[in-house]
Amino acid sequence: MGTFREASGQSETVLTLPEGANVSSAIDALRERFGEPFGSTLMDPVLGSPLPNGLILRNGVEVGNLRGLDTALDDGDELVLISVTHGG
Amino acid sequence: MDEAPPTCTKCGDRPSVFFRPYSGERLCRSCFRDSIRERVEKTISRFNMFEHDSRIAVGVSGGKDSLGLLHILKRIEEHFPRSELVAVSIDEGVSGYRDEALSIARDACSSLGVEHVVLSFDSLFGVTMDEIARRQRELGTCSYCGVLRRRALNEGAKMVEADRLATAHNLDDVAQTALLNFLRGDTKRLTMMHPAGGSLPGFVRRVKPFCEVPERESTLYAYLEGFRFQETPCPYASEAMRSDIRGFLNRMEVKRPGSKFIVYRTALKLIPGIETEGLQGRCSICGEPTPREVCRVCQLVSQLRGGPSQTRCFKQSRPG
Repeated sequence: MGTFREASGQSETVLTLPEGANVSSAIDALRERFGEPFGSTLMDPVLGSPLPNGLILRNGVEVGNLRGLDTALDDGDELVLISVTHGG
Repeated sequence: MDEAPPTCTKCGDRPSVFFRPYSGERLCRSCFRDSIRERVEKTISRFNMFEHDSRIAVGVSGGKDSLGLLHILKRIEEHFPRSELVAVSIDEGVSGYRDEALSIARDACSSLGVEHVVLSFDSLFGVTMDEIARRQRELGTCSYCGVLRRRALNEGAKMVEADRLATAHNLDDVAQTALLNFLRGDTKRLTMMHPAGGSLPGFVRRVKPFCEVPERESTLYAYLEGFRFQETPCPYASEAMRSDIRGFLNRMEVKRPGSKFIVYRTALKLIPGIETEGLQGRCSICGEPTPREVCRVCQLVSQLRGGPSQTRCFKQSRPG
């Protein structure tokens, strides 16, 4: 949502991930799918992490309340990415 | 494997959806929303921002922060029958970007039943940000936009006869401004981040009820409330130093939760009081309060127009 939608050109997408996937591997798959400027809008260039720039929710729960980027994903899970740093 | 989130540490009943790293709280949707509203109420109370009969102009850009502030102030205002809210939006003249935001602001005000006034840079100053961006200029676009928008909001607040101007600067904004001014060594400008504003002649008192709400939490609040998010980034957002500081503070907050609050609270301790000295003079062109002979707004507008003789002062250009 927010500027991530503009940067990716899509409001939603379906990912097919291998068994044992987590939020981090889903982020990698999204960056590969959408390329730039999505990747640089999402990722902090110093920490190499999406956490400073975005809110990430798995099934309505912010991943910081779970296991962060290591939060496991199951079949049918929904991830919501919201840009924090733009459009105040 | 999917795992259930921990129970809310506040109500002890519902599953939590958000972890607040700087306090250790885990909050359910309902307690999270309540916590944001309570924090705004406490900020208003702590800094004595409003009177029971204040007519409050709310700066509404259409972004998540200003929509959140508008909704929360509307809820509060309903308990104070003698107070009034008016939304003021500024159209800087940025094609695509501001059009989307103004449409969001208009819809929000309509659904809340709040009067909505839109003022444009073009009508006030005779120039749009699209035109400024195309011109040869000394400063970055954000410098022009910031100075002109501040004046435009004050002008809007005066126009609707408000005695307060509430803006939705969040914790990230005020912490960034504090660090920016530390690094520039500009202690006078540090006073501008004070949430309570000041009673300066010619200025509607400007308050920041959202100043203790981190931007992440403002974003989550907007999401949980179902606000429409602005998707288009400002094409001229290029304030390099603020961008560096934003990145630094965001990283610090991830590594050391609470860093933004520490910067904000330290800055508040350093502000000895709202300075009024030096603002008693009047601009020789537009007549607004300024410590200089010509105010910053008229300086910038006259530079853009090629000299003071061609300056189109906003007071002279106001319709009607």
